[in-house]
Amino acid sequence: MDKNLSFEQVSAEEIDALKELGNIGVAHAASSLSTMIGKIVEMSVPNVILAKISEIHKYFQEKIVTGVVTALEEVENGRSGYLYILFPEAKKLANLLIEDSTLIDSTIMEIGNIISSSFCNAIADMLGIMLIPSPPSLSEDMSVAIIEAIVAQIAEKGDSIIIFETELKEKDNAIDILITLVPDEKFLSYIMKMFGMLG
Amino acid sequence: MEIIVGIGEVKIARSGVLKTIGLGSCVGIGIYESKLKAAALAHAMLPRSNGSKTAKFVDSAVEIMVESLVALGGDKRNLIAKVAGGAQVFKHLTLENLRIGERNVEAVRETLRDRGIRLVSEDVGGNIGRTVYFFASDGRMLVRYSIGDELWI
Repeated sequence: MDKNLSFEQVSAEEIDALKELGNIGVAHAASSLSTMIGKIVEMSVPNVILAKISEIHKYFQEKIVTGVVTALEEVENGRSGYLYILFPEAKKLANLLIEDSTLIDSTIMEIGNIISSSFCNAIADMLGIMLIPSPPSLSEDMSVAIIEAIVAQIAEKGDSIIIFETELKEKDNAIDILITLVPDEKFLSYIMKMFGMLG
Repeated sequence: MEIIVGIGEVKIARSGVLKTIGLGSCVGIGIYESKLKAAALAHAMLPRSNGSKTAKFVDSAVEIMVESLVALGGDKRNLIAKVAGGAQVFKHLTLENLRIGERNVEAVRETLRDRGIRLVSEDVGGNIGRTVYFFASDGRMLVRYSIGDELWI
């Protein structure tokens, strides 16, 4: 991979820019969610991690976690990457939002849909590109096996993932969500271009 | 002693256990030198190398493992291989371009055949994730499924 496209020398400012990108994405998602369920929901991204493929096992475990996977198509270049949204507290989240534990999967699917489309729009706006998300697909397996299968799709043309550690709040309840962006090389170059415009 | 093999990596050991977690569509390829009692484990993501020799790809991962074992004093004739993984973890094929799991497994079989390395056992396919342990002292491989079942191959 081109050295310029590597995250090895990523600066604090660049991490902040990614955090900002994440915060804009989840803020849109939170307002859509609030409208849907009639309760005020807040979301924020307190931390962003840039990881190489070979380090993935440090961030994703063998535990079975419910998640939602969306493929991202860029209008000009086709398949550009994936969003993998993990809900380690899926049951708690579903109960909190709809108070019906029999509908966990469909609730998670809908929340995943809202988050991925909001997130996708925010990224596209910020990068000045057109991104179309595929319908989300529910995944229930070891989170590391899912992320690995996603990463394999871009491995020929990419080596980095971006993990947005996200917190969802409704009144006093806080729930952790993990939003992972798996960009191919081209998509990553757009993100680096955004960094290049900083300062 | 447990040695973790990351995604797209190869590790060699003469004692302890090599471990790779979360094989989805990827394959865990173990090669064991029975006289030397040395083991190599790879976590490869894609079937064929695009020219770069890294353990990301099945063919180059096997090449790296064989070269490393020979460099340690091993003999190609003593090598045996085991493989696990290559699942289809996505239920919706729209997410997956190319049925990578199946193609990875096929690439393992072909690469080993071309190099004259005997594939003694395998646990491949299906639709759930696996974690693999490869024991350096005797070449046993333990496959643990995400749902908790275990299988020795």
